[in-house]
Amino acid sequence: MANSFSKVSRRTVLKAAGVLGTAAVIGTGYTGKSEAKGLAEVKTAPHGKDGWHFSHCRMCMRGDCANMYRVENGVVVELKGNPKSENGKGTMCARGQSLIQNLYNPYRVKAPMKRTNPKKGLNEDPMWVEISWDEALNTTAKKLKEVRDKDPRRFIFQVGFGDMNYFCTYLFYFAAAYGTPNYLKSNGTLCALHYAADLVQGIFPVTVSDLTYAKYVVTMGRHTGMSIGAANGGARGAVDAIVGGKTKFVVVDPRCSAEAGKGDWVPIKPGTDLAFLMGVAHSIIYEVKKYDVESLRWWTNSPYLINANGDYFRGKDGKPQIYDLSDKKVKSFDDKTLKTPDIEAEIKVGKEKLKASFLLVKESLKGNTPEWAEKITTVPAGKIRKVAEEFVENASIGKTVELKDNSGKVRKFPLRTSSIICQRGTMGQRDGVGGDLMSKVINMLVGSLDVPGGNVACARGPFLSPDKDGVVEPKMEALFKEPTWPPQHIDLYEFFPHKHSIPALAYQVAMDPHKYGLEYEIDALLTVGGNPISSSTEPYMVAESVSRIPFSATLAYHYDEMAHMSDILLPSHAILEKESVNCYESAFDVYQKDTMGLKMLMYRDPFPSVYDSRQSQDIIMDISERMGIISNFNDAMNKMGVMIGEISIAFLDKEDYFDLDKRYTVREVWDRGVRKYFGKEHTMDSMNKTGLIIQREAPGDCYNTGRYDKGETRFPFYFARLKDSGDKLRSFFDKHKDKIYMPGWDIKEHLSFYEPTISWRPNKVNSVKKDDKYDLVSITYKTQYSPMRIGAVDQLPYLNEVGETFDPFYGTVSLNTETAKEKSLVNGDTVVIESEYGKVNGKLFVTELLQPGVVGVAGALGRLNEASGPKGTKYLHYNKLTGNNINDFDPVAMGVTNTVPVRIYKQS
Amino acid sequence: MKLVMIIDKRRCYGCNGCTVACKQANATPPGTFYTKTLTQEKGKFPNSKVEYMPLICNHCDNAPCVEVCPTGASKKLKDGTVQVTASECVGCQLCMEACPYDARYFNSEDVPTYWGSKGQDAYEKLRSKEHVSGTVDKCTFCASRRERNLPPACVETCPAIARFFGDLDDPKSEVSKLFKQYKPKPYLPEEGTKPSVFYIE
Repeated sequence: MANSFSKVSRRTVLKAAGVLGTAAVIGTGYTGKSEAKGLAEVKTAPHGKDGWHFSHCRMCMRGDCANMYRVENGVVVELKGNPKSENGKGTMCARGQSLIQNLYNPYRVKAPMKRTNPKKGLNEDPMWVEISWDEALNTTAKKLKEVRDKDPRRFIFQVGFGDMNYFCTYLFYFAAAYGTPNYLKSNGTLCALHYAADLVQGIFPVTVSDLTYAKYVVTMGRHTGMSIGAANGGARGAVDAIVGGKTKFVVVDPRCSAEAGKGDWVPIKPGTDLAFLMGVAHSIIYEVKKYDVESLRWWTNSPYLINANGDYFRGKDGKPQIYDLSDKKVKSFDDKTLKTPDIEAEIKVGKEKLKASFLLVKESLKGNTPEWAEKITTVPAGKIRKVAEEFVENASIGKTVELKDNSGKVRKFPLRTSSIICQRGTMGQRDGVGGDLMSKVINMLVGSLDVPGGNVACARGPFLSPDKDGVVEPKMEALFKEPTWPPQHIDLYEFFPHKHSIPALAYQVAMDPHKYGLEYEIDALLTVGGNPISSSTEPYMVAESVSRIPFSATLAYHYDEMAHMSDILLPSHAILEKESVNCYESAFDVYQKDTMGLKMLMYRDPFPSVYDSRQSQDIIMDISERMGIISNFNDAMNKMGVMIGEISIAFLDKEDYFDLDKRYTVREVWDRGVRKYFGKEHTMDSMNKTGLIIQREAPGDCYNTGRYDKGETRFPFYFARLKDSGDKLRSFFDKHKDKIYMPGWDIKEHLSFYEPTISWRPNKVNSVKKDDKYDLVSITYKTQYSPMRIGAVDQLPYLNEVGETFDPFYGTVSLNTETAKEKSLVNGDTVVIESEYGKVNGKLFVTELLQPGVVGVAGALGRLNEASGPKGTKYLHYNKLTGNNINDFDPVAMGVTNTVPVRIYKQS
Repeated sequence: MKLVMIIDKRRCYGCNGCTVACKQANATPPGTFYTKTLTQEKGKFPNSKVEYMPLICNHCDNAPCVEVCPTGASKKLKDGTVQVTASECVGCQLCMEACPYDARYFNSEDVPTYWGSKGQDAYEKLRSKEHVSGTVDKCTFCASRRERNLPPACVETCPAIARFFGDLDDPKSEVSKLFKQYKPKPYLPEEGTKPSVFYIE
C-alpha cells in the first residue's frame, strides 16, 4: 500500500494555510507591512471584449504554450489551452491555469511611484508616493541621459526572464542604444548550461534527447518536463515513450523526481556526476570495448594528432594532421585520399611524438573504473557497468534511417538510439562544464550527436558548420574573446570569456570598481524582469550593492526586492495585458514526434490593463525617445534583427529597415519581424484572427549532420579550444597579475580546468563527509508550482495552496529517513540549514525519495521582503545558502555552485 | 447514459494542472478541491519510487452521500452523475461524513477570497456567488462546461493526457474502448459505492 504524504481531507486542507507559518527566514526582522499598503488604487476599470481571445503563456521561462482566455462582463473568467497548438495540444499546467491571479493580483504596482525615503535597504520603507507617467518617464530619462553623457559604462541595464515575453526589444537593443557594456542577466547564474552545447554541437542554448527514435536515455541533474509539470509536449512525449515501453529512462539524481518515478532511478551523491560519467566512459572503452569507431573516425576529431604541448599537430599547410592506417601516411584532415583515420595512432614525425586525440582521451580515463567512481558517487560499480553496457547495447551502432527532407528527397542518416543529457544538477558544480563535456564524450562513443534518436540540438535548421580545422565552429558562450586591460565590464567579463551570467560578482565589483581595475563607477541602474537579489547568490551583499547605486528605476510588476530598492517604479503589465508574439521552435526538455521540426508562432490579444501599467517595450522605447536615443535604438533593431522567440530572430531586409528617427509601436516592430520570418502574408492583423502560425521542417531537414558528408565537420572529442582559451587567459593573467584584484582567487587552479581531456578533482562539495563541520550537501531543484519566480508564481495563492496542500516538498526541507534518524530529527521539526554563507529554516519532511546525506529544498521560493505578495518571506530562500566565492564557481562557464555543504539542526 | 472518467495513473506526473484548472473553471473558494492529485511514495531507499494519485468525486452508483442527504439535495442523475442542488441543501454536512473519498466541501464563507485582507478580485467578485454559502459543494463533472459541449476542465487541461471522460454506454466512446482494453479499476471498491471513476494502473 502506498504511503500518502498528505492525508488530505476537508478537515486538513483548511488548516494547510498555516503550515508554512513556521518557515520564517532568518536574517531580517523587518516586516515591510507599509510597503504597498493603500497605494494606488485601481486606475482603470477592466473591460475587455467579451468572448475568447488568443494568448500564450509566460509562467515559466519557456513560454511555449498557446492558450486562450475568455472575457465575460469585462472580466477574465476562464482559461484553456489552444487546441490547435501542436506542442501543447490544448493542455495547460497549474501555473498557466493561474494566469487570472497573475492578472488581478492586488500586490501589483498599480501606478508609477517615486521613493521619498532616500535611504535604501531591504529593511527600509521606501515611502512610495504616486506620480504621473510623465514624471516617472521624464525623471528616469533625465537621470539616465545625465549618466550616459558622462560615461555610458556607468549604467547597468539589469534584465532577466521575468519580463521577456519573448520579444526582447527592450533588452539588448536598449543596452546597445545606450552604449553600456553592462548588460547584466540575473537569469542563469545558478544554471550555467551552455558552454558544452555551444562548443561541441555549435548550438545555443542546450541539447536534448530525440524521443522520436530513442531506446535508452540517461538523464542527469535535470527534468524532461514532468518535474515542472510542463504542458509543452516534452513531458507528454516522455510519458508516451516510457509507458509505451519504447524507451528506457535512467535518471541519475540525488532525489526521485517524477521522471525517476517512471524510469530507473539511480541515486547519486550530489556534486559527483562527473565521476559517474567518467566511470561510464571508462567502462565503455575498457570493459564493453564496443564503440562507434566509424563515427569517431569521420564525425569527431578523434584521429587528429596531438603534439607534446597538447595542441593539434599541424602540417605545412597549417592544418591538423591525421594518420591514415590504409597507407601509413600522415595527412591533412581534409585530404581526399584519407581512407582509414587512425584514432589510436601513436607515432613519431621527425622528433615529435604524436598521439591521436582518441588515444589521449582513452588514456586519461584509464584509472576511472566503476569501482573508483563508486567510492565517490555511492552508485554501485555494478550499476555503472550496467548503464555502460545498456547504453552501448541500445545505441543501434551501424544502423541507418532514411528520412525525407523539405524538397521530398530521401536522405540517409545514422540512427543512434542511446543518449545521455546533463543539465543544471550536473553543471551547477565546480566541475560542471567538465561533466557536460564528459557526457558529450559518451554520446560520441556511440555516434549519437545530432543524429535521429540521439543527443540533438534544441533547435532545428542549419546551424552546424566546420571551422578552419574541420571541427564544429563554436557558438555564443564557447567563442573566445581576447581579454583586454583594463576590464570594461562590471562583471569582469574580460577575465571570464565563456561565462554565462555572474550578476552577484558584478554587484560585488560595483561596490568598489576601481579596486578591480575598472575606470568608472556605477551611477544608474534600470531593471526589467530581473532580480539579482532573490535569484542570485549572497542576496544581502547584492542588495547592499544595489542600495549604493545613486539612481535606480525598475519596470515593476510587483514590489519585489529590486522594486523595493528603486527610486522610480514604472508599473509593467501582467502577462495577459501584454500584446505579444512568441515563436516556439526549440525543445529544451526532449524532442518527440509532435515537436520535432515544429515552428509555431503564438499571438496574444492583450486584455485592457487592470491598473495603470504599461507594456515594457513601450516604456523602454519611451525612455529612449525622451533620452534622445531612439535612432540608436532603431539602428540596433536593424542590425540585430527583430526577436520573435527565444531562438527566433528575424533579420530584416534593408528595404524594411526601421527609419531611424521614428518612434515605432511594438506592434509595428513585430509586424515586420513576423512578415520576414513567416512570409509576407502573415501580419499582426492576421495573427489576431488566427492566433497561431504553424510551419514544419521535414524530418530530413531536422538533423544537422545530414547537411554534411562524413569528414566535413567533426565534433570535438578532444577539447583543443578549451585548452587554447586557457593558454590565452594564462598569458593575459601573467601579464597583468600585479593589477588583478580578487582576494584569495587561485588563478592557477582556475585555469587548470581549461583542459583538452577532463580530469577529476576533489572539491568542497564532492568531498563532504561525516564529521565535517558541514557534513551534508544541500540541493535545490525545480518543481511544478514554482520552478522559478517568473509570473510571481511563488506569490500566487492558487499555486501556494496546491503546493502546501498536496506537495510535501513544497516550502519544506527534506531529509532521507536514515539521515534524519542520525540527526535525531523527526517529521515536522523546524530545522535550521546552515552553510558557510548563511542560514535558512523550515519545516522538516522525512522521505525515502532522497539520497542519504542530502538536504533537499524544492523550487524557487522565498523572498527577502514582505511586499512581494501575500506570502512575502514565508518560504525559505535557498540562495542564502550559496556563495559568491570565485574559487567555488565553475571556472569556465562561471556557474555558481548550487549544491552547498551544510549542516542541519533543530531550531532551538 | 453513464458518464465516467478513466484516469491513467501510469501517465500522471503530478503537476496538479487538473487541480488548478478545476479551481479556475469552477471558481471554487480557498480550501475546496473538486479534484486533486496526491504525491505518494512507495518502498525504501534506494528502491523507493514517487507515484501520483489523482482523486475526484467518484459519482458513485451507490452513493452514500445521496443516501444520507435529509432533503434530497444530493441526487443521482440519469446521466450517471451525482449532483447537489444548492437551494435544497441545508448544510448539515452529513454527506461529507458519509463520503469515503473526502470529495465534498462546505462553503463556509459569504465572500470567499484568495487575497485575504486585500479583498476579492474582479474574477472572484463575478464568480464566487456560484458557490452558495452554507451549502455543500463537490465536483459536477463540470456540468456547466458540458452544457457548452466542453469536457471537464481537468480532462481538457491534463498535460500528460492521463484523464479521459465520456459515456460508457456508448460503445464507440473513447472511455468504452479504454475500458475494454485496460479493464481499469475503481478506487476503494471495498466501500461498495460502485464508482464512475476508474484507474489504469
